[in-house]
Amino acid sequence: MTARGRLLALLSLTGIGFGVYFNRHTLAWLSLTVMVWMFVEWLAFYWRLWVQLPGLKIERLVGGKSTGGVLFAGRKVTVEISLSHSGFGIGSLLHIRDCIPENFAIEAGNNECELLTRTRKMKFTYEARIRGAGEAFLPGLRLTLQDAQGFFVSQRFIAVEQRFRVLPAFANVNESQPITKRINSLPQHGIHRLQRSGMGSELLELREYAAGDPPKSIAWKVSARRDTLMTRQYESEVPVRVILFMDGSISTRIGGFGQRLLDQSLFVAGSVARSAISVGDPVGAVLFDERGAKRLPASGGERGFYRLLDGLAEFSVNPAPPQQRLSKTLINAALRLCGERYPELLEPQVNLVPFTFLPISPWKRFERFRRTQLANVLAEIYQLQPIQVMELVLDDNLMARYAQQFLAEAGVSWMDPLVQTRSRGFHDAMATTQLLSKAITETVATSRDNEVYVIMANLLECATNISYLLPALKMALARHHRVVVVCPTPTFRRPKATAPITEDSPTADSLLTAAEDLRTKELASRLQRELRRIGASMSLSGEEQAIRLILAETQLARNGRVATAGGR
Amino acid sequence: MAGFSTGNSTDAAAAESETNYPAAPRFWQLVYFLLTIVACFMLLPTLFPRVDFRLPLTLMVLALLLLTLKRWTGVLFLCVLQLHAFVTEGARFPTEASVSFVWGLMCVALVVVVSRYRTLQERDNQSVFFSLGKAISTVRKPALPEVQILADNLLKIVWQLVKTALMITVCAVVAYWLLSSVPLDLNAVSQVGLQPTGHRLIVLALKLFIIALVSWIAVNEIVWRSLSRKQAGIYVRSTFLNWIHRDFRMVVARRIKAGRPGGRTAESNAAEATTQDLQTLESSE
Repeated sequence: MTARGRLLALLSLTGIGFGVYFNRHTLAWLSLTVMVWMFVEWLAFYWRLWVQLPGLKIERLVGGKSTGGVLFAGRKVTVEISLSHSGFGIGSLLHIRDCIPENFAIEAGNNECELLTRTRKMKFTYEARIRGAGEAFLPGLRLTLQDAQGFFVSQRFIAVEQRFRVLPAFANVNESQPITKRINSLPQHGIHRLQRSGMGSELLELREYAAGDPPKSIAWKVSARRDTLMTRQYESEVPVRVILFMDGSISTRIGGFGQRLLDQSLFVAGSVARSAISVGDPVGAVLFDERGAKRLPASGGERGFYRLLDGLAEFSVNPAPPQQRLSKTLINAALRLCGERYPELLEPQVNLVPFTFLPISPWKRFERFRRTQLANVLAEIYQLQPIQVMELVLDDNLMARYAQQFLAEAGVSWMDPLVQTRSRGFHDAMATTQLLSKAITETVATSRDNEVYVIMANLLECATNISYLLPALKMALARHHRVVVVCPTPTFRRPKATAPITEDSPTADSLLTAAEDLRTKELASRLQRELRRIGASMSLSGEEQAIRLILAETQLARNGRVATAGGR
Repeated sequence: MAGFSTGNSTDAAAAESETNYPAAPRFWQLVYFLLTIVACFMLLPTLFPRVDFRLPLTLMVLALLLLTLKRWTGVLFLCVLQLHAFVTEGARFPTEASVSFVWGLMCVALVVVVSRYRTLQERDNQSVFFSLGKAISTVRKPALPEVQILADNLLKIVWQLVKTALMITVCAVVAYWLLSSVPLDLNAVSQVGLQPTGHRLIVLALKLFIIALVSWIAVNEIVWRSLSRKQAGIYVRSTFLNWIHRDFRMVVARRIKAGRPGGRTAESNAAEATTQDLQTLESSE
């Protein structure tokens, strides 16, 4: 019963008492009528809740699919929800809300609807855009059943689970093949000339005969002219493999879906892969984070492309978040989520809280009450022992761990209060460079000729100590591979070279953006200087310029030019 | 708020507009607010007829009406009506029973329409002026799909009002019968030593209590048997915790204290015991 219902019932009872005791019949009869009416509404409400509501059937279609499937980040999807009742219909007042994950952003329509009268069938739709790659889990619908007067209310959650793999977005960058014929050969799709000795069909150079050269490679006419045996050296014809090094460390996962540094990298990776595979070049990936490194072997064709996207999507699913200190906001966030997904478990009739004399302060008692309720719900979800419930109530670390796990499994993004968004700083970047260095070294050890390494990592923070990474990059360049470094920026755009504040009265947001721009610019120029010195290219942010730089380097690799170390 | 659709709608265009257009709930808000105004102004002349403060009374009722736009005023309206009934009626049976019956129905109807209007307004989650303004503009210049929605909903509102009126009438009759079933016993003073009205109040209270208790037990039995698996699990766990809460709290508090820096841990105790054993062994050798 709501506060409104309790107040009216109390007033009616008082009216009955006064009316009967002081022999005021109209007063007594009026108050008793109100009481009887509330009693009838109470019975009707429980009838609706326990008899009608279980007969409600709900079906959800996401992009025409009623079970799971695959979606693409950055694209819209239509969600259609149909309700039907097997009996005579369900009465008012029923509020239905589809619990959408944080990865969904509603673009048109609404994910809620209201039933004002008895209804047997109804349908509502809305359009949502998927924000970022990874996973999208729709758990079900939250129902709020209320009588028409607002005296009784009850919440229920109906599970209609659908899980989708969200593949990263990519740009269809048009690769323009040169119209004018520069070479007098037409290599097959995916094969490119490399100006190194090999078994190709184009002549690279002539050299003096060395013992062991096959007789058919001797150039007899030239040998006759020079009066010494000369051997023909042919060019190599190799595919240009593109290897994407993707950084998935903590700093790249912080932020809302679609706003993470990892999302920038995924967009660049997807676009580059699309472009490379369309001209027949295989693309592979090395995905590294604190859990280790995972390799996706280079493959071509549409199947290879979607396999790569699937691997990237799986990688972009956030793992267990780093342990944080328990805070009130974390508990409130967990309680809000409990209220949304498990409202029936928070009812005081089933979720009992033991009575204690301490704490005495009403506010602390209320906090302890809420924390105990949350502990009971978490214990039921994770099937904990009763003593562990008490540990959740008293041990802050344990409660923080389970609350974080609960929020992370529900698809909450890595922002406050789940993960503290303090500046991760120097130490996290050091760990990233060590992981990246090891991944590059291992890849170079097993690499073939003429590969393009695209490194997408958050290196801005360790720009002053890039020396940990340089040996691995130098090794890759020495093996005649092309190296491109893409650093995603927090502002999602290249930092401006000129003075960023042009407004007369700048706001706090513009000042913060300008400060971030200046800091990023300074770090970026240091990093660029170091990388260009050794012969690697660098780009900032996940914009089109970064993609074009990578494609330009790939084109250079296809042209067969071999860059000397330190030169371009 | 969007997505209101009837089960009988077969026209695709109307169905689509119904699912996306929030006209229906705001139209209902407007209708219930108008009914509130009508009920107020019908009851106002009947309130406190023999006293000379019509103007302050009218202003107070208008203030309550305006307050309804912001807050639920059902209990305030009922207070005023109960006060009127207490003050103006003598301590005897009323002679104009039929007028009081209609008046009583109107009082309950006022509380009903006020409550319904506030519930719809709170669900809308918009400001009052926005909601009512939208509703008025829809009614004044409706587009073609809205005309059908408004017509459908007008019929539904009328039907719901008829059902509500019937229900209130039945409740009034039941209340009258309950009161009549406990008449004044003028011999109560000699029999039980109580005033007749006091005796009547106790008997009526007992009757109502028994009815409420039986209903409450029946409803709770149904609720108990309809618990979900998760609800049953959480109930069992929390009940068990309730029983041995003090013991568990003591054990866990000690564990946490032992695990804190500076506290004695199991490892440090074991290390100290081993050292002492070694020393004892050496000394014995």
